[in-house]
Amino acid sequence: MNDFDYQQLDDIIHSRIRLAVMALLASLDTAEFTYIREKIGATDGNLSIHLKKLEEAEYIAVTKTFVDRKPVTMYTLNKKGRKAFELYVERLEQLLKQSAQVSVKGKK
Amino acid sequence: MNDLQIETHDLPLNPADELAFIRRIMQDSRRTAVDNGMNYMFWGVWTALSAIVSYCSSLFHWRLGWYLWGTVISIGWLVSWLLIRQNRRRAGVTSLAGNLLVAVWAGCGIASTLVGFVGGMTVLGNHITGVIALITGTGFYISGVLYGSAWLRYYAALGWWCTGVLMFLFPGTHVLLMLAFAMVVFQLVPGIVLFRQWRQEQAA
Repeated sequence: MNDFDYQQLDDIIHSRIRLAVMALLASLDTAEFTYIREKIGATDGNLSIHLKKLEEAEYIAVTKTFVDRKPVTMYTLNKKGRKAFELYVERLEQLLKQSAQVSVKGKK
Repeated sequence: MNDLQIETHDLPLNPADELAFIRRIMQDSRRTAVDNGMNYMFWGVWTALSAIVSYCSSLFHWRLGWYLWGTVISIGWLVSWLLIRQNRRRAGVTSLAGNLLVAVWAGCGIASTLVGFVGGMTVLGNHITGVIALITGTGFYISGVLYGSAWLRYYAALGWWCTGVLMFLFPGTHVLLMLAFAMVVFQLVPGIVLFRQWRQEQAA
């Protein structure tokens, strides 16, 4: 039985790639596009679409710089994004508790 | 295959799996952002050699004095900065723990430099190395907390603090040899261990 109600979760984060990006950035200050791509294993195009969605929601900030004349794109989690991520994790924990309570009641 | 073995399609998961997934990513990225130990190894070798040269200078009256340590510290700071910059570029990430580590060691380095030059000219005299050993021990203690490493806290920090106490109890020119010994045992060795851990994590 699955008591996992997706409607209670943030749609923007509730995607495997976007969730991975958010979790990655939550534990770091900044990360390069290539680092995220390698860690997540998504293609450039696919990852770009997901990052764009997070950027549009103002969950992440993008900084473009040049290192040794090469363009480098850095991503950081915004305050809004961190709050949304914390809320997401909190909701998951609540759902986990609820589901545990339901299974205990069911056994009784 | 990617590092985290992430499914690129959206699969419905239960909350427990989702939380485990988040935890795994966060732990993995924290490990990546950890220092590679190069700075510890560099300062261990560099200062040990300098302390031996300084001891010989004192023994054979070479009169290198402040010129030696002025050059050693200036080159040391420059190499340290280059190593940090190279490490960050290679990693492609910065983390709060990584930034704190740099801040802790920059603070310890500035304090040690001031103790070495200003303290040496004023009240500290022969006790410079003892104070520097205590500062270095404090640096290792905080680093151990940031790395989540008990051995770094208890082996390196305690080692440096004990060396500092011995330097205060038995002052003299030979403290330079004690400094060289401590640099190898409590600075170079932890650096090698951290470097090996970092390489293992990179290869994993």
